[in-house]
Amino acid sequence: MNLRLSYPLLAWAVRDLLRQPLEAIVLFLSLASLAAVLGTVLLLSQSLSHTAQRILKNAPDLVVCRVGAGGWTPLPVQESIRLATSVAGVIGAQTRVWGTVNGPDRPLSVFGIDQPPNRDGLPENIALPSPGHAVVGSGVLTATETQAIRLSGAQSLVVKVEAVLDSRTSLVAHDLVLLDPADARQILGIGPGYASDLAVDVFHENEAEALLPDLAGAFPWPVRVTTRREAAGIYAAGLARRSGLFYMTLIPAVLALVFIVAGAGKNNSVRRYEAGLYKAFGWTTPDIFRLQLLKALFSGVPAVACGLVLAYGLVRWPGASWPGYLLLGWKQHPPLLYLDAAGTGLVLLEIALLIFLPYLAAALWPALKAAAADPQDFLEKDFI
Amino acid sequence: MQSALVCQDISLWRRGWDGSQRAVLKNVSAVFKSGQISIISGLTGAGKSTLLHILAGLLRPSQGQVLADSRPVSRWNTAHRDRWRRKVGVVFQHPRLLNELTVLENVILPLLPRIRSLSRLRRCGNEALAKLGIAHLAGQPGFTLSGGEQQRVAIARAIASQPEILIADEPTAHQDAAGAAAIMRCFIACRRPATITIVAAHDARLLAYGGFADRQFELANGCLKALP
Repeated sequence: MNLRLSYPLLAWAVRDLLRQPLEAIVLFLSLASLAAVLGTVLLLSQSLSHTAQRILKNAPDLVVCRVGAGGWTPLPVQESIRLATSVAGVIGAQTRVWGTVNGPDRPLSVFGIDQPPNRDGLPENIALPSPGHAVVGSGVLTATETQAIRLSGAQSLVVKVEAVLDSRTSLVAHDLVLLDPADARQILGIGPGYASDLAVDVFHENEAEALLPDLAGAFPWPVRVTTRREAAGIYAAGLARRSGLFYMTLIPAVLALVFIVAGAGKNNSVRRYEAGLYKAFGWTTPDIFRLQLLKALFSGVPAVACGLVLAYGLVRWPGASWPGYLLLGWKQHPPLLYLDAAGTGLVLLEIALLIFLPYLAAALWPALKAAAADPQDFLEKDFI
Repeated sequence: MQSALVCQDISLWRRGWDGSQRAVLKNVSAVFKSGQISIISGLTGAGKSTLLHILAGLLRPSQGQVLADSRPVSRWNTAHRDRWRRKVGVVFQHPRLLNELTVLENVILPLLPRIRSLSRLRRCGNEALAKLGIAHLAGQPGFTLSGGEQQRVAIARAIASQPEILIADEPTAHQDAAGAAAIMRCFIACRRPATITIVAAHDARLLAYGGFADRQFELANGCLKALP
C-alpha cells in the first residue's frame, strides 16, 4: 500500500477534522483526560513500587527485637552486638534507637543518630543533630517559620529544628525526626546503653533465614527476628492492596476508552457514506486510509501527549503533592513525589499504546472495510 | 485511436422488500464511443441510474461485463477498479455535496489525491466553476446553495479532473431554462475526441437541444435499445 503523503492531503485532513469542531474538541479532551488519569495512576504505582524496592535493598538483612511479657523491650547495646556477631555468618550488627512519639499535631517517627546513615534511603551528607536540636523530614513542620517542636513520649522534650531533610527523601523521611541518641532515648524512655532494636548484616543474603534459629538462640532473652524478605513481603502486601485500589480507578478509565473507541467507530460508520463518495470520485483505498490515518494522528497524538505530560507533571512535578493526598491518603503533609524515574518512559509508552492503538483501529476500520467494497454499497446504505 | 465503453449483455438483479429477486437490467448491450455524447432516456424507475452506476464502476453487474478499451473493468478487483475510476467523472442524480465544505472545496475533492500543489488545486477548481458560470460561489458553504446551484457544483466537481469518461444522471433536473442551457453548453465544451459522455435524462430540453446528443438510447423495463 502506497502511503506517500502530500501537502494537500495533510491540509485536507486538518480541514476535515474542523468540519465538526465541537466533536473534535470533545474527542481531544476525552483522550487527553483518559491519558492523564491512566498516566497518573500507573506512574504513581510504578514509582512507588520502584522506590520501595530501592529502600528495601538498603534495609538490614535481619532485625532483632527483644520481646518480653509486655511486648517490645529495649535491648542492651554492647551485649547485643557481641552476641549477634558471635553467630557464624553475621558480619556486622548495629543497634538502633527509634520509636513513635506524639508530635505537635500527629505521631512522628523519632530516630537517634550519631553517625551518618548508610542505609534507609537517607542522604549520607545530612547534618547530624546536636543535643537539643533536631533534623526533620519535610512533612513534620506545620509552618516554615516553626523553629521548635514539642515531642511527647515517655517524656516530653522541646527540640529546636536546625535543618529540614531534602524533600527528595520525603517518601521515607517525611514524618521523621532525627535526634541526638541521648535525646531520643530520653523521649522514648530507653535507658543509657540500651537500644530499640538491632540491625544485623549477614555474609550472604540467602543465608539470612537459615541463621534465624542460631541468632535467636544466641540471646539469653526472647527475641523476634525479622528478615528483609519478610519486611519486603509486608511492604509488597501494602503495595498490592494500594495497587488494587489504583487498578479499581482504571475500570472507569477503561470503560471511557471503550466509549471513545465505540464513538470513533460510530462516527466513522456515519462517514462510510463519505468513503463511498470519495471512492466514486476516484479516491483509492490507500488514499482513504491515508486520510483517516492523518486525521487520527492529528486528533489523537496531541491529545494523548497532552494527557501524558499532565500525568507526568501531576506525579513528578515538584510541589504537585495532591495525587499522594488523594490516592495514598497522606492527608496532613503529603510528601513531594520525587519518585523513582526507572521505567517511567516504558509506562508512558504503554499508556500511549493502550489508548492510541484501539482508537487508531476504530478510526482506520472503515478504510479497511472500504478496501473490498463497491462505492455503491456505502452510498446506498448510508445515504442520509 | 477511438476508445469506447462497452456494455456486454449486462443484467442486474435486486432483492425486493418481499425477498423476491427482481431484474433491474436485462441483457443490456451498448457501445459508447469517445468524442460522442450519448443520452439514455426512460421513465422514472426504468434503471437509468443503475446502468450509469455500473458504467462508472460503482456497482458490479450480476451478469455480463463492462469493457473499457477492451479491458473488462467490471471484473477487476476493487484496487484496480479504484484506480481506473480516476478516469471517470460522475454526476449523481442528487448533488451529494459535503455541506460543511465550501463550493471550491467540494469541487477539488476528486483532485486531492492526484495533485500535490494547493495552488494548482485551486486553479483547477476555479476553472471548473467558471465553466458552469458559478465561480462567484466558490467561497460559499454547500448548504447555502439552491438545488440548481448544488447541481451545477456537482457537475463542476465531475469535470474538474477532465475525465475520459463523463457520466451524468439527470444533470438538468433542477435547472431553469438558462441553467439547463449553460449545462448543455458545458457538456458540449467538454466533448473532446477522447472523452466519452453519457447522460441519463428524461428532461425533454436535453433531448430537444440541437446538436447536443450524438446518440440516443431508451431504457424501458430493464432493456436498452438504440434510437435512430
